[in-house]
Amino acid sequence: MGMFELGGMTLKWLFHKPATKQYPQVQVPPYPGRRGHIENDIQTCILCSRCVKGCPADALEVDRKNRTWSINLYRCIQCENCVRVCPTHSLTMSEELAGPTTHISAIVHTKPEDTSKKKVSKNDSSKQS
Amino acid sequence: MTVKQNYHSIDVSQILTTAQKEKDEGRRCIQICCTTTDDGIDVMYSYRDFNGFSGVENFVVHGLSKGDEIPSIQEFFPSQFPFENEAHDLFGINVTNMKLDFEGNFYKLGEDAPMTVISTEQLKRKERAKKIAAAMKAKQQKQNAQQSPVAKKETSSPTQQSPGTNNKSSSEKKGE
Amino acid sequence: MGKRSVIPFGPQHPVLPEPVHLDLAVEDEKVVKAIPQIGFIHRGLEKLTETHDYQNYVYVAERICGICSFGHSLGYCETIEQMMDVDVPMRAQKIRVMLHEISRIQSHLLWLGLTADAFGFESLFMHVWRLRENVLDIFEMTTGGRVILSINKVGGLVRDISDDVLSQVESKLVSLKDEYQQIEKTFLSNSSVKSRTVGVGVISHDQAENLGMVGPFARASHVNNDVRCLGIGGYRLLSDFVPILDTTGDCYGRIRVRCKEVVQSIDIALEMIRSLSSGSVSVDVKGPIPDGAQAVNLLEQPRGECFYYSLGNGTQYLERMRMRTPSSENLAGMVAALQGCDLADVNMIILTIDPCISCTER
Repeated sequence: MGMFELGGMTLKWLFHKPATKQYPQVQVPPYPGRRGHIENDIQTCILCSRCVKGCPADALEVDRKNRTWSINLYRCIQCENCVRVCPTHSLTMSEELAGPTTHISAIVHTKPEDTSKKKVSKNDSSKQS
Repeated sequence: MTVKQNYHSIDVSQILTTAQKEKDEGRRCIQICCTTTDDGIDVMYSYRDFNGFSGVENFVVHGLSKGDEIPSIQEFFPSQFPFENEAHDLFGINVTNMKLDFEGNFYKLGEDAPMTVISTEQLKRKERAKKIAAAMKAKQQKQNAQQSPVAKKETSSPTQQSPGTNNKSSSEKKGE
Repeated sequence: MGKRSVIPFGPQHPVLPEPVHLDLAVEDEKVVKAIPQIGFIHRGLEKLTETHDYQNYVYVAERICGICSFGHSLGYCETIEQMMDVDVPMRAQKIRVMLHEISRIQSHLLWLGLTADAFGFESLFMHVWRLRENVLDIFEMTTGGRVILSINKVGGLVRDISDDVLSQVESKLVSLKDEYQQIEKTFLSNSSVKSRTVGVGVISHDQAENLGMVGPFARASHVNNDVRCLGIGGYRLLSDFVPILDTTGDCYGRIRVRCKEVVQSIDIALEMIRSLSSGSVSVDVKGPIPDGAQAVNLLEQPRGECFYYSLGNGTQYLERMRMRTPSSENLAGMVAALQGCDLADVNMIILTIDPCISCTER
């Protein structure tokens, strides 16, 4: 009879621990490969802007003059397009979700000037180390 | 993997007779779609069998403009009322004799016939693509003209380079 | 001759998953006529082909609806692949079918929970949604997202699924089947469920054909319009597929069809997993769409047959993308089913149609 079956299930769950977790006190570990938020290793980034062209949600901005790369995490739709088109593999998808915030703003990374070696121009024949 | 499909061009006066004919042959209308093209608005009616599948038959009426009238097929296929009201609200086509007529209040829109408004970027892209296609065609013709004294005996069919153009003669496409 | 009054139903109502408004003309507790009004969730997604090129439009297509999300991205990709004559590898086709069937399980479990809640059967609602969490965990394991999967692209899949993840998915599906069959038996044999749904909202076979109904809504009236029988796309790889039909045409029949489809989908997903062979999962698709290229595609979504049409214009942006969803086709059937019913049965009839209004309006 249907009633007895559901009665059995209900009785079992009376003594079982609850199926829900008390988030945010208890954090649920994500499965590997979850799409959380985008991170950039600014040292290897070459500011080529390929990620900006590939982003369908206009979440990324690259300013070559000021050497900055910025992302608006709350516009990002976690599609991983930027990770796939990046030629130097400096972009990665982390498993942590972008947490709740009271203020939506872009995260800006500035690439420091590379002073160890200077560019050799075609007219200048003397090399500098 | 492909779906068997055929495209036919019809006139506004043939809409009702086509609907009657398809209903008598045991097909049902599965959708009505409007498209804004360079030559005006196209309205496409698609029909499919009830049981079994012999292909999707698409009948296209070309070259309408905003404010034109077409007859409603709701007497044969009452399930098409959302699409006819949508055609009126989004494209500005007047559909006469509708059984369930919302008189322009189906979608409460801020603008009249918004799908007929093409953005300037889209128009620029299409112009550029047309110029590129015309230039490539001219180049191909020039190449053919240069080779023609040698190749007149050999070439008989035009080279098909663009994939998937299935405009009208698509009866060779069969569903697997 | 009683007095007629008009009662507004919706757009916000506890049984509705999405907003739809109905004006019910009621005479002495019987509904004489129902006039639908939609448009609360119209976002103009079909016009976004002007701002997103055909490779990025898949992210717009999968956000049409949260429940049928994978179905829309699959239908869109298959339409573009047909238009550009792209051959998707076998492994990608099988994984797509597997994920689509799991998406169907998820949709029907959500719907079953809402139906049980509409009866007041809250404990069943909680149990069914607890089972649905296992399905969402399967999605997170394989694609990285729970609701919006973002795994389809024009030309195949974005990432491959490893063998140990597939074996975890298989074991989860097998344990889901056992637990689900217990609940299904409870629900379908319950006398209070039967008394509220048997004989309610009956639509005959001829009426269903004339009104052009699709999906489980029509299959309960013995109209076989299941697109999976036609062998389009990856579905031609199924060994044998028999659609589930019912002859009663009332609410109980529709509930029974959907409950049985869950078990059938679990079997199909397991068959796809066990028959997977190694290989690549995508091909590169580049270049603009040829001018004048058009394609039509059909797909069996959880709610019925979905129609896709696309037209190219020589650029990277589509000229037109049309997605005709099953709920729009079922609106006429819904209006017909509501005629002559009791006012108290309106909830149940509308729920058994499984309306997905965000798909209807896009």
